[in-house]
Amino acid sequence: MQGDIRRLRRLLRLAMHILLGLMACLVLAAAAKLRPAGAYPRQQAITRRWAAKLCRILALEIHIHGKANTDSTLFVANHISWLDIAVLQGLLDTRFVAKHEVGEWPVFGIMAHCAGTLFMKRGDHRTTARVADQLTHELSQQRNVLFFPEGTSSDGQGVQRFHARLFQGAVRAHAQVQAVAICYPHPCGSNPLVPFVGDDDLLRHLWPLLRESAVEVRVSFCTPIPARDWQRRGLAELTRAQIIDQLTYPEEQHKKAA
Amino acid sequence: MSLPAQRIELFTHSYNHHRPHKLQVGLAVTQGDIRAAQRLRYQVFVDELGATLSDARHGVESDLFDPYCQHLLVRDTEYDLVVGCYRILTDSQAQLAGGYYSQSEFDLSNILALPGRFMEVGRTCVHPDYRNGATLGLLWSGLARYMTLNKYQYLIGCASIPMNLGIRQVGAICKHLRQYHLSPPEWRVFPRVPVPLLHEETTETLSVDIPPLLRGYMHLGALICGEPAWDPEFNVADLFILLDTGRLNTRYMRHFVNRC
Repeated sequence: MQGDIRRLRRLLRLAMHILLGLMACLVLAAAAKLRPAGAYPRQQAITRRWAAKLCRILALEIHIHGKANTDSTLFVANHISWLDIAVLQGLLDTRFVAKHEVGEWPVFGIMAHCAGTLFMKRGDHRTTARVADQLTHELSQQRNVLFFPEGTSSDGQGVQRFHARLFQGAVRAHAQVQAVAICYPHPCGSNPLVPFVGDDDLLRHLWPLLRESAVEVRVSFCTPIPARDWQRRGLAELTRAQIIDQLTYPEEQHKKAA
Repeated sequence: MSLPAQRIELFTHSYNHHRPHKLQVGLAVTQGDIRAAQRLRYQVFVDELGATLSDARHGVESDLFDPYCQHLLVRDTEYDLVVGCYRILTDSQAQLAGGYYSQSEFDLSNILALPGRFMEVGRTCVHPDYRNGATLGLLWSGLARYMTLNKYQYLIGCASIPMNLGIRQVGAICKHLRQYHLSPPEWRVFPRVPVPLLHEETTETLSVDIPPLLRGYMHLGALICGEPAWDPEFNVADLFILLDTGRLNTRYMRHFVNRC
């Protein structure tokens, strides 16, 4: 009974928050037309605050390990659920790379556009090359970009192969690459409610989550890598190994440096 | 933990009889000695090699393992300066520390299953003005005495190849070492974050220039136990090495021990 009341309250707050987000999008779009110069920092600050609030509504309990870079960094993370996006956007000033289908989603598509997301078509080398160029541009402007090199979300049990192509953007910009390991700890290993794989229905996925009193999230920032020392394939393998290492031995990562 | 005083005496030997007491090897006794070693480490690893250590401050490089370790120093007595150091983590101390340093980079289960006592060494560095065979030789003679006195069977540790040599050169070095100094398969260790090396063909034409310390270990009869692990803070590829005192190249070793 208590869980049902909680769910109802959260659902209402969520609806309000999404409405607020849409309004913010309108205001941001108008502001960008009027004063294009300050558009980027404004957009980043608002997006970040909106995402952080979303995490609070969903009662995500976020534990952070390691230190995030602040500028000219390509963040790469493992991908379990759409929750990853809310969590990471709430922590970092960064643009995201998403598949182009996301841009066509009803409400969230508008928001993704508004947050300055870079869209790519999977399997289309021409648009991938274009996104890699945009990525180089963003990074050389001291901005950050985040993408999920697995290309799709996994069930949280393992980390799939990393696609290397987009790493080229960081190599060209001589930027730093920082791997981010994200997981949802749970008494039975990893939280079974969180993974959002393939063609799940968003609302059906959200429903049981809204009933939870809290969802624990663990975000670990690995040691950043200077991209110019590596080739894209090497970077993909290294960051994947760093993330797997973090997920396998979460408790002893910071023993080496005291 | 420190050794009783009379034992420390045993490690104190001057290097050159013609110029007595110029270089001396010995274990750190006071906190000041350890600080001096940590300052030298900062000078070499951070200032010279550009390591990005999150917790190195005030010109001192230290980590959580330091309090559990013995620090072997070479001192220039003329200037009262620490010019070389090694860090020793014995098996009993490793238990207190919650593991060996190498375990933060490798899965060592195959090695640790071996019977006999282990001693891990690491954080090796020598002041740039003293980089000759003599300083390293003195450090090794100190290690050799420590090992024989305390009856350690195996010397283990990570030996680094700097990544700034370029990935092709690192690949060529690893290939060379794998060819001539690879351990038997039952002693294999597994890197937790492996260095992605290039395919063999691309490294074929390179001449191989093995870093001096690693070359020295191989001369002594050490083996590498698998692929390199990547250490992002020091930006190096670390190879796990194992030296079995039963397989020690005594002729090469005598070269150092006799000089003391």
